[in-house]
Amino acid sequence: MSGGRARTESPRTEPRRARPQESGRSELDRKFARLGWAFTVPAMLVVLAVTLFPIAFSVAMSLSHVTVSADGFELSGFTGEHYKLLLQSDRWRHAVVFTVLYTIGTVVAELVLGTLIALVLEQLSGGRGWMMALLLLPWAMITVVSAQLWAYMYNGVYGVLTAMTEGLTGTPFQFLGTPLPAVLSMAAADVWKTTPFVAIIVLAGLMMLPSDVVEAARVDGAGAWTAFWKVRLPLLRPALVIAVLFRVLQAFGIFDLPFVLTGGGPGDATESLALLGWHVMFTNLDFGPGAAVAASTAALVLVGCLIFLRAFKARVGDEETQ
Amino acid sequence: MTDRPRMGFHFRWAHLWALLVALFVAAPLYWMAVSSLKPLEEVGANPPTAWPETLTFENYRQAFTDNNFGRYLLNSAAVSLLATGLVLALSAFAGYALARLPLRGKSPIMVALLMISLFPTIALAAPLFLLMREVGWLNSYQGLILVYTALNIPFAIWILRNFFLQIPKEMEEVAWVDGASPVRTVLRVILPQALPGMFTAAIFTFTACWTEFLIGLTLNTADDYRTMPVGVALFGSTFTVPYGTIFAAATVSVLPIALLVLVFRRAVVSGLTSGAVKG
Amino acid sequence: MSALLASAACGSAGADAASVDPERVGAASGDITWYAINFGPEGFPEQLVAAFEEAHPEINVDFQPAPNNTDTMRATLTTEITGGSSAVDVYNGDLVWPAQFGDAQLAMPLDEHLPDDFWDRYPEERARLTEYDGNHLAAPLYVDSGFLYYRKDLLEKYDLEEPATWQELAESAKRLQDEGEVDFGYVGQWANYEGLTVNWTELSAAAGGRSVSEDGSEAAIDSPENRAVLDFMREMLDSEVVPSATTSFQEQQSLQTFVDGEAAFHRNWSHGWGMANDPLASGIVDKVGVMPMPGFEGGEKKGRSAAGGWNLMVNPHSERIGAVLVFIDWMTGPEAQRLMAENSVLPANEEVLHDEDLQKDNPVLEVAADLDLVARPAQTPRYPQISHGIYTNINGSLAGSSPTANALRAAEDDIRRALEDRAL
Repeated sequence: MSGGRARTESPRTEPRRARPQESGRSELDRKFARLGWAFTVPAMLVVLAVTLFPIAFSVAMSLSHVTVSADGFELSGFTGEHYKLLLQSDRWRHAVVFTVLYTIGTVVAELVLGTLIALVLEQLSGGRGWMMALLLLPWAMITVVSAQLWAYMYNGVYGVLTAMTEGLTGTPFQFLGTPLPAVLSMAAADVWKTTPFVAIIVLAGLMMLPSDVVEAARVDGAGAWTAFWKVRLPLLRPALVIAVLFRVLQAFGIFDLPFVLTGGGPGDATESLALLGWHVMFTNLDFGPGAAVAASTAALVLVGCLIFLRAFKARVGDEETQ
Repeated sequence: MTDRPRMGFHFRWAHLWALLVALFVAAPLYWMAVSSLKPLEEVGANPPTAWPETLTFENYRQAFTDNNFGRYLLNSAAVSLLATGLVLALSAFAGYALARLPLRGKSPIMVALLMISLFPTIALAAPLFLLMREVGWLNSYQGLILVYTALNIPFAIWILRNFFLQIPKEMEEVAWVDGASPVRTVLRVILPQALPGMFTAAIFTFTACWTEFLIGLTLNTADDYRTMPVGVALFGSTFTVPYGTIFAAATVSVLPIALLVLVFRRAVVSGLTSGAVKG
Repeated sequence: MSALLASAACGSAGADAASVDPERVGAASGDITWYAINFGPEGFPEQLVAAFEEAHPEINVDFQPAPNNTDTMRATLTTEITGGSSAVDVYNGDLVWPAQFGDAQLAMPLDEHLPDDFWDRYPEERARLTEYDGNHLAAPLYVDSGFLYYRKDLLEKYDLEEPATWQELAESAKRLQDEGEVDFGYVGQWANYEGLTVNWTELSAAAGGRSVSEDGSEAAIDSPENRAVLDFMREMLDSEVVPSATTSFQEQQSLQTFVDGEAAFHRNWSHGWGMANDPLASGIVDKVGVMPMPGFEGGEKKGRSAAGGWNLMVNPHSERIGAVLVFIDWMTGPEAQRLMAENSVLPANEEVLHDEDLQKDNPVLEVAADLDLVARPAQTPRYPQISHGIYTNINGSLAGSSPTANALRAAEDDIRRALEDRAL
């Protein structure tokens, strides 16, 4: 912990400014580059060893004629049929629209709530550890079980939330029976479970902020609000970007909640891309089109993430070497 | 702190808001815990009872004796702890290199990591089964640990790198000049300053492994290696959802997480406050 | 029969063994793994295994419980079997799986290994539901079907008859609601899932409708009979005989509502009886009657109950087929099937199903013994898409988003596309 203490004593005002690069790469730089690879390669190897084959295999399946049999998946010949099937399918288009809107809605809600919660926790003088422990409980629940918990609470006859609406308004409210309430109820369950993820990342980001900068702003006479908007929020951006990025990935792949809570219903109101992909692959046993759904999901979310990174000019890695 | 009245005012508001947040977060958890203590008939009672009319531990007995839930918890703990350790070890160095060392192609690496983590798990399960069958690691700890490690490294690298970027450079430069070895520099100088980041990466990796269902289900089917989320899915039968037993198991399963946070609270909070309180 | 099969599997050269190639099936001994979702009372599969091992000490059975969700179980089986695994030798398969599993070679065709008279132990109709492409893909293990449960005490109190038709049911239900006896008239499984296809198939069949033509080649759901049925279902919701929550109800939620004493009539599988009469779970013990599903006014006089239940299927990669065949023979034979009947699991074996002694103790068994069954259109490997076309559109219509005519037209389109293999 001595590092942490020492750090706070070091005088500095621009914590993240890149070190000026000398023209040409020195011997030292080359040594550091080799070191960098030595540090990076083991992690990369583990990731590639596990994911390269499955991803390549899925993409190949999505582009081949696939026969499922006891002898395994037989891939024979290139075809664009599976993607054509998707593009012609109302079911797929509907799942895309639902998933995109749902992702935007829940992630925005979680971002706002999560940041607010982080700011509140930062202000706490005591009990922060307890609050963090509590916040992590929803996140640490098996998603299927938390979906079952919400299904139980939303139940139209003996659900506690239904009973509460009946007590308040006189008529029991049906959370899952009709499309719009079903979507919103699902989103509420999702926000409950995943906002802590955002809150904890943002809180950790807040803790890493150079407090001298904030103090300086305060000395300059900026109010708490201005100090937040003008000074701290911009500095928080990297943490926010990470929280959003990974929440988007998770939200885009939402599966367990609709699987348990609504079965994609009413009708197809809550059928997400991942749920559709699962049905096509493992209920219909159509692995070609199923892989195409999965690959299309990945492609869509990749495009979304890249647009997001560009829009927020997030730092993705080269700023230090340029 | 207390000698500044303006801050005192803020503190009181913060406490009120914190209380509200705690209520919203805790209410569903309360409902889960309370329902796990109700007998079968009361679980489905209308109107629902806020506190069990008949308090029973039958659901807990069923989870642990009729089902092999204790074993599943141990399996999950072993897999999750080891995977988290590996993820931290590998990602700390990689994250540091990607933050600080003069590598070419950092941007492509970061985006590639992102791409890997966005491929839907449902599409990975079947090929992973083939892969692990080939290696002979079905129904083992190492197979699941390897997969969980790989799937969680991207997020850990992203988050750790962000923290490393914010650490002042002076410290490590002093260390380099003093001739400390690179590994030692990272372990002794860098990591202690990025404790909140390490904690964040650790807790999210651990919970991700702890709650993962589909891959655990696919790779480890033998009872001896089955993980906790898969175990819970075995409760009941085709047409029955034994909410009481499921909630009992779930209540037990979230406690270790809370415990972990509380145990590491000292390290975490001290790491955190040293940054926050300073003037 | 049992002895015959055993000797065949052992490879003795008797004439009866002609259909079995001993080299391919292996010895009728050793360790086998049976993969199944729990069924019957707690620990029942293990109890069956113990009884089997006592009868066949030369074979050890490892019961491996499957996740309790049918779709999840299908996913694990598909992954394992296509992956070439022989970890599971024999597994329970849903009634609607044979065509799909046969098509994808996930189950071993049995005719090569089982003598023709093996199938005599089943009602003919039931055995036929395990066929695909002229071969039996599965051996029925236990059956299930739709039953109408009703509040016997309330019908008696108000001097109401057991309803002969759905319309009568709605009328009696409304009366009991108006008297303040129950909150809801009827609850079933109308959520967005396979169970709604089951409920729909029963209602549609009672009215004389179908979803797919008899030969299985064409969509037939957009018919006047079915329009009347869907209108009737929507009317039950509008008049609040059926609570609107039913559009999100599966077996669990609807049964819970019924045993809590809140509904007058309830459709469920056979396990509903046990739970309704379990003092630990139910508030209506001994107040429940059970009968076949009712008819539909203007349609058939007698109602139809959907066929359900589970079969035993064999992993084509199994290296212990000899032992597996002995296991199948025993599990579908009288001893095991009686054990099931005694534990409120409906036997697939015809002789046990019609055993009058057993029926005396179990009213459900008595009703089950002569039900008019209706099968879901699962004779094609495309059945999952067909069923999805049915339940999504019906559920969407019941939840209020589309009128009857549109919903059935959309379902017709979806089913047609599924049959033409153009559905996602």
